[in-house]
Amino acid sequence: MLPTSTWALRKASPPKIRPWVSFVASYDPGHWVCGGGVVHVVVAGCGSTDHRGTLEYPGRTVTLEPAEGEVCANCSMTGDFGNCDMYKAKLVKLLWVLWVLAMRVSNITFGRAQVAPPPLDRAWWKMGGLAAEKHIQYILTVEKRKDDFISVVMEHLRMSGAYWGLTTLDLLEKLDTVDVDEVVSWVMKCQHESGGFGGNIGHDPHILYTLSAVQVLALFDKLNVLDIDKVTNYVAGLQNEDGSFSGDIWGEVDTRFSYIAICCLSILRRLNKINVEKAVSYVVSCKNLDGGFGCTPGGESHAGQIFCCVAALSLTGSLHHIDKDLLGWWLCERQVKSGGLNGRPEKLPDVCYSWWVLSSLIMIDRVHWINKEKLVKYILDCQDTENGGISDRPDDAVDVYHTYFGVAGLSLLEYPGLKAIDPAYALPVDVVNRIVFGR
Amino acid sequence: MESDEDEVMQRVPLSERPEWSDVTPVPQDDGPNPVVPIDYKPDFVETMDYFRAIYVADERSSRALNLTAEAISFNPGNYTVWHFRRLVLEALDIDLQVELDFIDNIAKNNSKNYQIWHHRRWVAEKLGTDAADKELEFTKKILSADAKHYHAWSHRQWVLLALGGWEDELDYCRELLEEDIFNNSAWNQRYFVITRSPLLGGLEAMRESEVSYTVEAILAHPENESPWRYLRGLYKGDTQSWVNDHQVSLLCLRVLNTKSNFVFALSTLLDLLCHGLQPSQEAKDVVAALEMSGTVEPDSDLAKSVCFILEHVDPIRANYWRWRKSKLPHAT
Repeated sequence: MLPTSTWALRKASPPKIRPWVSFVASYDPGHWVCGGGVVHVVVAGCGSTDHRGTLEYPGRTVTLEPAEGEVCANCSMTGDFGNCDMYKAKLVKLLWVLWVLAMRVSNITFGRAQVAPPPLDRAWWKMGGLAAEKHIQYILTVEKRKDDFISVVMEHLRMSGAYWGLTTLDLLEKLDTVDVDEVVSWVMKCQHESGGFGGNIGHDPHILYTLSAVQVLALFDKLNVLDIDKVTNYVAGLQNEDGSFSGDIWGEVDTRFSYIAICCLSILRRLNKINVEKAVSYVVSCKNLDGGFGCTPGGESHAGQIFCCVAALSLTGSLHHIDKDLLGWWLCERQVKSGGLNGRPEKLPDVCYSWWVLSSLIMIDRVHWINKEKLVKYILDCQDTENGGISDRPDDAVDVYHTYFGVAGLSLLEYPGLKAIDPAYALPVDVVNRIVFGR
Repeated sequence: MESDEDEVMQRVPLSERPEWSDVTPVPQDDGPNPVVPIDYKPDFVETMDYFRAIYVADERSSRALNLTAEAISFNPGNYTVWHFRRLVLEALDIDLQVELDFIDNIAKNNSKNYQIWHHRRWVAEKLGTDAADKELEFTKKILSADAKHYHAWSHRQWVLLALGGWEDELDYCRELLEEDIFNNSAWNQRYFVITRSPLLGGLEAMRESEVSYTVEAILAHPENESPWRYLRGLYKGDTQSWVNDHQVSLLCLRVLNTKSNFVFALSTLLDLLCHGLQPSQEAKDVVAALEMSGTVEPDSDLAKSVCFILEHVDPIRANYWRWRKSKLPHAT
């Protein structure tokens, strides 16, 4: 099996047709790129990060539009081959050639390729733009700080804190610094007899922390410790008559909970336990005149809610309910002069929207409408390069939440050295491959 | 947050209060060797240890109610404490008007907290339609400090739908927009009112007056994204009327004639052209004038020219405008 992690579509200008394959080192030492020089063919349906399906709703193919005057002259696939020797590399190359050949012979064309903007400038990586080591240290020590107001307000949402911190570590390829058994046994102690998880030991169950718990277990490939039926019964039990979801037994309704339920059940492969049709129609009922979504019908469009709704529709194979061009335009209007993204018109930019806006744009295939270079620069400007961590805006105080969203945003932007993250599941792509496709 | 901490400093530890002498605190269980140990402040730890004790014992008493208030003042996000507080409130049959005052107080410093709003709704729901005025007043107070407060708007919409009070809502939107015409939340609320208020007769009945209102707002600040989207929303499900309404194309031309802040005017013109608007000579002239003032190559196809100009004046979204251009039907 070819190791897949991300897709990179490279522009060749002037367009050149290279009939076979090239095999070049990527931007990242230890990684190689198998380049296929097939004009107008996107090798799709094979694990594009933005079109992942679930078992119930198999992967959708890439349908990307061409920008005028440009052709895709090089689709490449990067993979982590480790420090492989040339023998192994040649084998991969051979497999690639065969694959491309097979595609051509069977004349499978999934559509013409969108030409992405040129790959991100290598210089950023070379300059050490992302202070990865510092961020790792920050995450590993963040909860040990004494007398910190944050430690008090974090207490009840420690499960989400764990998810943010651990996912960041995984994207930075440092998850192995954490003791798996300790995390797993703590997570399981947060489970309530109803099947749901609380934000910490002894806290009431809530759907928010149930998803975080499931995501954390998925990161460690430990979903097998769960009584799947028990958890999924809890989640399914929160669906209301109109298709919406409550957050817990107290009945607060919000499209956030629709996403959480659908994502959780998708990871656990039990989407069949809810009424998907009604769940989708509730989400669609929250669509606004600007193409965005709010928390309830009539609620103002907000990038965070849009992520939830788009991802819920994506995971249920229902993206056709979205006016992609209208929503895509609204989302790309969120980019302000500094390069950062805001969550609503006339609001300040914030690093967390690098995730909410960006992942939504990727799910609806419109991410090339924003200026990626400027956004990368904005996120990097929000780093604390001395003590690690990322903040909402340059020079503000850092926290785990924004550190996660900053790193996840960079991952979506294919920043070198980071694992790819899935925009709908909000988990690294290799984790999603493992749990959803059994690879 | 600072004021909370001051209060905490002067507090008498629960272990020294006689009314708590019969309770054995239950410490937090982080496991034997916690992965992510949190060092909490001692006061917080003590309060939570006592809370755990009454929570486990399911003691629904007035001292339990007071303890939840203390725990909430440390961390208003702790949903378990709020849940338990509701159980106690139900058991004690407390006057819920007093509870609203309690929430008012907590909300002063923590209005972005989901739990507070959820709790507030629970109380208001119990109080019924009588609570409508008070709830609208409460959200108004929050919105006077932060007019785009997402939770407050969400609560306000719920109050209107569940408890009523639509009478002054359009006026309220007008007030907020007078204060800040860029307030997207107020525009959204305005749309909510004209489409959902049982008193106004619906979108079509409101269209004429709303279009004039919006046109004025746009002319005052043509760079304002919200009214442009609102204007389009007024013709929801009736694209033909939108294309044929001279007010819309005239508005675009008036803004374009000023040659400044015209991105939304130009993009609206583009949308109109894409939906079949036959451009007037004036439209062609005004676009040509914009081409002359920039470095954009003139094009015989008006829509194409518009895309060129947009790509030029809105470079951060150049890829979007290029895509729009690629989607245009080929000129004959």
